[in-house]
Amino acid sequence: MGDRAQLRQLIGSLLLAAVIVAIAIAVVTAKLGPTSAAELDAREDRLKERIELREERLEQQEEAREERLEQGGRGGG
Amino acid sequence: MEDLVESLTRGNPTEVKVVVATVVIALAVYQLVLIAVGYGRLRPRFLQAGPASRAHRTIGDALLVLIVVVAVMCLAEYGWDDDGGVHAVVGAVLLGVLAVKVLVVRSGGRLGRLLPLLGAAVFTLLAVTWLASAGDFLVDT
Repeated sequence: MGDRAQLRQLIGSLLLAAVIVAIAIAVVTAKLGPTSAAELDAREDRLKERIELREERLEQQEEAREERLEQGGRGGG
Repeated sequence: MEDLVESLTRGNPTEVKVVVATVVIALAVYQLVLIAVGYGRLRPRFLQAGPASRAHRTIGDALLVLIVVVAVMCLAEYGWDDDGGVHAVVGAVLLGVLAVKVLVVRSGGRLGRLLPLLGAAVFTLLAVTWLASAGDFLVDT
């Protein structure tokens, strides 16, 4: 068997190892789901936005209620 | 060290460790096949013993680096945590056996007869270490 054939086999074996590495990374990453810092930051930002929106809405409701109470008080007095 | 690991893994040390450890165990299985070809236990038509042994050695060198990286990350992040008793002890024994195997490979000579035994021990210890941490983590996720 020539040196060339042996070299080809060696390179093929190493390429197969690279394929195994790629498959292992893909499978585990798919199983773990999004864990990158950017993804987590985006998720945190979305959560913060939702909380802020909810607080804003509560404030508006509170203001509207106070206004109604004031108007009711003026109307009654 | 912990800060370095945190910044290198962008705050995901456990996930990165699980990925690297799983790559190691996948390559370790491939290493078993390669060395079986190298020792003539398997005789596929497309791969001869010489190239299989050389590939085994090359991939083994890369694996050694990966195993040390995982071990350092593990110690930096968790230290000698009581919860990881089996994992920590088996991992430490693995590093010891791996060091002996490397010494035997580099020194050559009659000690080379021990290589199949050392290789089997390294694979078994790797599998137990992986099952006690990364495997557990993947099952729980």
